[in-house]
Amino acid sequence: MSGGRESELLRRRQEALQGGGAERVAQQHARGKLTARERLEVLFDAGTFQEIGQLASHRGDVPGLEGRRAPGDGVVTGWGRVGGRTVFAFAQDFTQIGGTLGEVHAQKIQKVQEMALRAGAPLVGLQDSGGARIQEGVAALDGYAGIFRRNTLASGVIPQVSVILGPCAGGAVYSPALTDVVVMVEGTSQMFITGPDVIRAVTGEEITFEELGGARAHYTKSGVAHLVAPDDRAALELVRRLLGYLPANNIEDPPRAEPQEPDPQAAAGLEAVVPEDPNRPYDVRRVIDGLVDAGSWLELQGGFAQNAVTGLARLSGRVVGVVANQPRTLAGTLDIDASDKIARFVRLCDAFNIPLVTLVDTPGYLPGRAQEHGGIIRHGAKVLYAYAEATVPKVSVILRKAYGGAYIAMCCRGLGADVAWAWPSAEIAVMGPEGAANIIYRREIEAAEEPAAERSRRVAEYRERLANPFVAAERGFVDEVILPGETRSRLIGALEALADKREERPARKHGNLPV
Amino acid sequence: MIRRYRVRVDGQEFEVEVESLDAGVAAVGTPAATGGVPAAEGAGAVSPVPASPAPAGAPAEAGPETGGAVPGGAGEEVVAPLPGVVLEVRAESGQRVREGDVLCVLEAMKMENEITAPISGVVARVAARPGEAVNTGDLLFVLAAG
Repeated sequence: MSGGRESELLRRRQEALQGGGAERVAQQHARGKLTARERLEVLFDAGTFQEIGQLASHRGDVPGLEGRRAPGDGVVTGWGRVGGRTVFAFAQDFTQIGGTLGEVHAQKIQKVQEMALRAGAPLVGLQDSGGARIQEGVAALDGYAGIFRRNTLASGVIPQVSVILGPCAGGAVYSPALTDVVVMVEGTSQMFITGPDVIRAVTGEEITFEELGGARAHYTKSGVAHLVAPDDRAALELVRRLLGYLPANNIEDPPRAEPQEPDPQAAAGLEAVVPEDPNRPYDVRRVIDGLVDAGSWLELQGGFAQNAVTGLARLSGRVVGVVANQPRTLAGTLDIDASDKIARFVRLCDAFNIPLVTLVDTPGYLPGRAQEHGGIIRHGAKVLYAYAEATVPKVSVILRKAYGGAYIAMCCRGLGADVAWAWPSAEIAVMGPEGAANIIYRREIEAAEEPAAERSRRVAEYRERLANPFVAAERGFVDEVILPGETRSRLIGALEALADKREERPARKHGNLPV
Repeated sequence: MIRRYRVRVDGQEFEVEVESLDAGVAAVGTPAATGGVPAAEGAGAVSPVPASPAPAGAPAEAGPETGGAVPGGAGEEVVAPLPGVVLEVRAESGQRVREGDVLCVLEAMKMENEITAPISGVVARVAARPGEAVNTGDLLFVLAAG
């Protein structure tokens, strides 16, 4: 009786699995890209992907699309397992109507967004689309709007990761922008609001797709891309690794792993990383390497605002978010971009119950007209807001310089650090010794027979008396002065003690983050 | 002595360096478009006008900053990322450098900031001079790719 239906089902399934057909699939491969289904196979544990909406299709009555069958409507949706844990995903299929977004395509994405949110499981969006399906007009625009709204409602409830694996242009960029982490592939992925043609027409400027919106541009200049990978497979492997640091939702704690010792060479070198001369730069990632479990460091936004370093790592198996100043770039100052980077990362960690470890070595805010007129006041305020708002365990370690407003911003005790430590090399003060001595001892320096000698004597006196960790420790602003070699075990102990930290806040609609 | 001028041509702004030479001939340095290009992003800024080569007959020892002219203006500009004083210049004109090599040390914010080569190539021009105060976006070097 149902023999006809069964064979039709099998035929339709077979048709859906072909995507846009052999020719288009060959084109996709020739570009160095995988198909939507191949990508899902890499993303999920083998054999765990379950599809929904395989038979969905655009309404046949759309002008320009009559008679063009597109089973799945250019997007593959469903769920599977990543490292044994449930994850929902959608993958746009560029081989089918260019992966363009029409009404049904959007409905499928929205459905899987809702399922992920209800199930309390992460959502991964694989973007490879020609944009809005022009033939479907306002229905396509409404489709994007519904996706953006669901991205927003899920923000801070479930982790949302976007992987850009092809074009992602115009309004489409805002779904990734609303998610927690954006991964791009070098050479084959682009994101931009207005493309090179529009730019040429409006401003006369010549720029290629890759220069404008390629992975390099967004990894180093705009800060849109958190991670980049050389190809599709590497990008998806990176997503699998990233999900291993994140809980399924905001109620869960991040997954713990087997404790690992730090890299022995990095740990042994920890005492010598920070140069004695406070004017000497160094790479703060060597400190991070010496503290965290070997191989656990996953830096996010590593190419952007390199004067700050942000990333996920493990300390004795427990996931932590590390924020550090980077003295070897822009002297480790805080500027607009670094402020945005730190604030966003702190909020990611707070949303997903990841304790924060802040490593401080900053001379202050970057001076200059561009910074002031660019709004460093507004942007810098985000760092204060994010740290003060965060209720996860917060531990700060002052490695060397912690001056003025930047001391406050880098999660000092007064801002809400649960534990604040300083290394013996720390200089904590309102300003650096040179500037401070010039102000405090101005009269003495002016009256001296040899002002230069008097100045350097006063600078040394200031450094000796005030710019050290002991004044702060005597007043309790620093809980303990600790040695570099003790830092890892101290951190592990503090995070253990703070694991069940609860901090209640008054109910409110939401705070008003300065943006 | 190099002097900086801002020149507006057809509504587009150029930053021009003019250097007075012994012979009284002015050599025009690589212009950098300033309109619309954020100062901090200066590296890789496209210069719309090709750099003029040093005029023939210019004295050979015109100073370290008159390195080889950038062919066709296609050079990677290395600019000061923050305001400070050039402490030490470690690269000279014509020197081959690799990406990440230290070109000069810029003392700023009480830090000896190492300014590194953004690309591998040849130092086409050395604008940085020890002891000179520079502002964010000021030209330090021009590198020719290759």
